[in-house]
Amino acid sequence: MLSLNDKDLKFAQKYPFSATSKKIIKEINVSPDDVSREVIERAAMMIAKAAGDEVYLVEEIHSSTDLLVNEVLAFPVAKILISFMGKGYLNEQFANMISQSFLKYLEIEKNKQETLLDLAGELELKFTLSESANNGFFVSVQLADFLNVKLRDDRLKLVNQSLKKGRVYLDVNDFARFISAMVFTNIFNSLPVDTASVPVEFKKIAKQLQGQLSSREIKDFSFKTYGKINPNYFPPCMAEMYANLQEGKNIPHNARFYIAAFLAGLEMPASQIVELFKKTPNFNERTTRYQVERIAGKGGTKYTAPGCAKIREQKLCPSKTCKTSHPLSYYKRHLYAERKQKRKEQTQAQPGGQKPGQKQEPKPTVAA
Amino acid sequence: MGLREETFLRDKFRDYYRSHEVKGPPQVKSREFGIGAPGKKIFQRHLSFSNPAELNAFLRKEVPFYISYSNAYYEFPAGRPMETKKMQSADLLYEFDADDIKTNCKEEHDLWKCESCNASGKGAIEKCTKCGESVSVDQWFCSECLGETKKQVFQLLKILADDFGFEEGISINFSGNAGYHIHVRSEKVKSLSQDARVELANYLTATNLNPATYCFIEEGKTIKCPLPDDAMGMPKRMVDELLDLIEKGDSQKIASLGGISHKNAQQLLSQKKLVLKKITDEGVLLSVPGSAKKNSTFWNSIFQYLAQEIALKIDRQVSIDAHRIIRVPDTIHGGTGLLAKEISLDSLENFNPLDETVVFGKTAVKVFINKAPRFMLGGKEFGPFTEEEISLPEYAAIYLFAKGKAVLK
Repeated sequence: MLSLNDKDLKFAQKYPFSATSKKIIKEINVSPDDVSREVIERAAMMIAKAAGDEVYLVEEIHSSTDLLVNEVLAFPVAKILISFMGKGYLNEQFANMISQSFLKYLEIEKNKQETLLDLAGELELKFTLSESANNGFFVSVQLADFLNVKLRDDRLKLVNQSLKKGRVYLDVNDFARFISAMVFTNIFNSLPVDTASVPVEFKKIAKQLQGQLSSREIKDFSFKTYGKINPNYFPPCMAEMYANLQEGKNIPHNARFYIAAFLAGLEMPASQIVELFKKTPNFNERTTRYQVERIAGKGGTKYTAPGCAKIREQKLCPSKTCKTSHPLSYYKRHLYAERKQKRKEQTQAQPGGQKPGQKQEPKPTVAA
Repeated sequence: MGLREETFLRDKFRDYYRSHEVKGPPQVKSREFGIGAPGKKIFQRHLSFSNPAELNAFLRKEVPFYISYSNAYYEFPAGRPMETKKMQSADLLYEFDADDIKTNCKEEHDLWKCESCNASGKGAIEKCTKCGESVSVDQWFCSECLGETKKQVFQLLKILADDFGFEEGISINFSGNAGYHIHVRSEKVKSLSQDARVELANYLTATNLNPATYCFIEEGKTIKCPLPDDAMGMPKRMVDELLDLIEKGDSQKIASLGGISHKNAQQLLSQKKLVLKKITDEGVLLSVPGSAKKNSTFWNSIFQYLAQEIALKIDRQVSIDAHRIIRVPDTIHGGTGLLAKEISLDSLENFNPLDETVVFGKTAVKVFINKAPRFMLGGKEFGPFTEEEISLPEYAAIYLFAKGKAVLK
């Protein structure tokens, strides 16, 4: 019986390189043969983000235990897939994506310093907390440990550090950068993973993914992980905005922003979102593309559609019966309900499972 | 070098090795060795010795003009190609050469010659003053340039200890010609990666130092600097160098470095005490007369100068290469006949390389010297010589033979 708590799971999902994540993965003890389609899709999404030099951030709405478990498992699965692809640059992009995502998650942590220290501990970094009056320095680390990581950020180059007696003194921001560099180094050095005992199915998936990445279908692949976007699952507010756009009606500026952020949140490619705006009066493709890409996170910050309270406040909610708190929650709840139903139908359709007395081969487990 | 001179030198070198035991580097059996001949410092590599006795036997038998060893420790030091050696770890290595350090004495003892237009002159220049082609330089070294090189060694030792915390396992030796070698053999450094060695070298040479971003911060019209008492590492060295520059108060120099008028530099220095106090007490740089942009340009030019000043003139390639081979301490440099003498930290201050590395006798040897400037050796001054036949003490004759400047008569 698993004893996973949501707090640890959320931590592991945000920081998949952490010891907590490794522990959870070990506890879940999933054989590669049993990795679900959803996990592979999330892993593919991670890789697609990496290949597109984007960060991979999962919104808080992914709060159900099952979804969090999927996210946690996606990390080692992504490493397996990347290892099958055998592209050195992808290893680097993947390590970079995780290290940058770490910084993004850290930004929104309520207690940034505590999280940093927790992670440093989980990465088994030896550090000494500075005394509060020490020139604004937060911690110091041993020079050898500092030099063990790949210092790609100019700010982190040794020549720009404060050193004393073999210790490097860092303020909070530089410490965060250093941990990010450490994450990059650890992941980069861990790739490729040993794929000898991994089912050949993964190789096929990796090949398929590689093909899609090569043909610049990165966004499309991400899109596919949610399946084809189904407007039937849109909450009433977004459904109305969507319908108005399709009909070429002018909609308020804030509504344009919300629907774009909502669709970007569902991983709809920016080009398709732009397409949706084409029928609107005074459409300017260049401006729209720029704005949509910014909303989708090209500038480093991905905007999220607002919660229902704000939408209601701005009189954009047409429903009096909708009970949801966020448009994305509404969509995903409906989407997952449908997927669950489909899985149930598939299971029922399959002939019996393992027969009594039949010996089952031990299966390798997914390792972080 | 002619055959007669080469044989003469080889005989003398053999005598030396027969009467002196070379200690060899630590863990001789894990090192790769290479040897050289006149005109070529390394012509054979991938040699290995099981122990110092084997190394000494080789020196006595083969009498190489140069012998170098690897800073790396290998499982199979004689293995070829390199991958088969299986590197286990490596010492850190730093080399300073007097020819990399600008000194006025080069005008006195160095001679350049242009092979393209035959022009020549005194000093160590890179391009011909007449035709702009590369020139060859006949380099000599004196107590002034070797003294400046030694200052660099002291600066390095200070940074190694104060900043890097490398105080153990440091060994220093004269190169046998123009400079010093510093070997760091502590456990702390042995497993440093190539990238780590590059970071250390960049630190020492102030490469990629970005003073305006990380050290001297512009906040509106004010430029803040580290407080000298609190700062560490490079910021500390930068601000100390700045205090020194202001303290010396050379208005011409400051005007020229900062691109301002002499009058403005004088005006700044007329408040020298205030400038220094602002730095030490408040961590603020006093503005020069004129606009904020002019002030910023002035100080940034000064920062660039400070960065150059604190940069050590190490041979970068030597310090980042984990597969380097470098002269075995206490062996003879075949290009001078001087000993690559190991020097204790305590005796470095008073060490005189042109005196204490002379290992040959004073028996008179008749030589013909084509051209040589005035030089000091073994506590005695020689030259200058131009097409001259003269009797010299053996050690001086060996020095000139090895440099290819004289022949036996």
